[in-house]
Amino acid sequence: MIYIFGITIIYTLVRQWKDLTSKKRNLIVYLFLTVIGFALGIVYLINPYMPSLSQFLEKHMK
Amino acid sequence: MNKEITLRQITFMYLFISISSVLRQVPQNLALDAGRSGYLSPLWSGLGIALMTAVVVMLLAAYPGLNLYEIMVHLLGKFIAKLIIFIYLLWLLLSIAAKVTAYNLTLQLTLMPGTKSEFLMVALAVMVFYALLRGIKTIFRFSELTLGSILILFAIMFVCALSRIRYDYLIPVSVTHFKETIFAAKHVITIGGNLVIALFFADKLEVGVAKSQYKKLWLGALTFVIFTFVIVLFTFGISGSSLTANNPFPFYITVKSISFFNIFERFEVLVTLICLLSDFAAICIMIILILRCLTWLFNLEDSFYLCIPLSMIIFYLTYYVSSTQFEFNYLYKNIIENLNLLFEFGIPLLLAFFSIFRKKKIDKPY
Repeated sequence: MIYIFGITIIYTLVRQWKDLTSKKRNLIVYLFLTVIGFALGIVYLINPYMPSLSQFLEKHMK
Repeated sequence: MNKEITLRQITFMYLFISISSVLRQVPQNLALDAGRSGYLSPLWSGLGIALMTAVVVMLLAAYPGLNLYEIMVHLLGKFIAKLIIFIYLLWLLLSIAAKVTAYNLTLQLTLMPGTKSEFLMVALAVMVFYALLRGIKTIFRFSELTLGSILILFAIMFVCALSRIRYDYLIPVSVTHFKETIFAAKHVITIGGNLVIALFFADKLEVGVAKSQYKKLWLGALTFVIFTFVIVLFTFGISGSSLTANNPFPFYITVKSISFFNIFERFEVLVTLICLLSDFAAICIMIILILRCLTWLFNLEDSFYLCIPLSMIIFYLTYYVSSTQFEFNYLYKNIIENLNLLFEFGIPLLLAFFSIFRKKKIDKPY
């Protein structure tokens, strides 16, 4: 899935280039969210069986 | 003044996005917390929902044409407003991830047990993206169009189920559980708090909203309480509180036993479909709210291009938040409900409180 997302992100970046570069903050927010998305994706690829937030809370909130 | 949506559409949307949670979570949680008297809890919740509606109406009337962020800026200043919007953004991200998980689990539990959640999420993302392309108004119109037929269907189902209800499951009301029914009303109130969407879209309403328009919000809140009461009564009366407490989707099991004069049966497929439509609308609205929060937070003019990175974040977040039915139930009951109380009741109530003491002159040009 991460590759599909990667391609879609690049496609959107190219298509919306004018809008994104019209203001600096547009591009910054876009890249910021993209980096967060990829970071989450890469961590999931490395360890898909990582305990979820719910599991973590269940373990520590007793 | 560009009047994109009306309070009537917001009321319809509020009811529409609440349906899936009412069908899936409320009966089980009430049975777990309040036992066989749990079906009385929706009546208690009416008090909390009335308070919430009063707060929303008061803020809408006091700050005509201003949305939640603008009201916060007026009352608390720009910095605190942005900070609260950022926290709202995090809450919305958690809620949407949980909603997507609920959507996946519903489909896997009912119609598509062998289908991977990845496929379901991609299909959902495509549908949501298409809906967003058509604009906010289309999404609101969709709920306006669909809700009426859904409520009629539920009315038919209820009439068909009357003969199946076992009154010994409902009467006599256990007095020992009376206190629990009041506390369990929290499960209904947290869904009824969806009415807060009216504040997010307040700037899309016309400035001089007539008093008769506010009546629609009150009517919507009343419909919500009655609808929830009927659904829980229905589930408890047919399945009993112990089966309801031990089943992840008790209403689905309840509906299996209903038929329309032996001509039409298998209503459970329709119930699944209604849940999916409701989830779809809720996810669309949540995405719009997230985009609005980002717009307010970073002073953006347009934020539609953020849909793709946002969908990527939500996709992976669903795995990080919860993946199984047990995890989802735990998360919903212990985290999401409490957060809903804070963000749907706590903050608007606080704003209403501040607005009484610190009402400033509204300088927005219309």
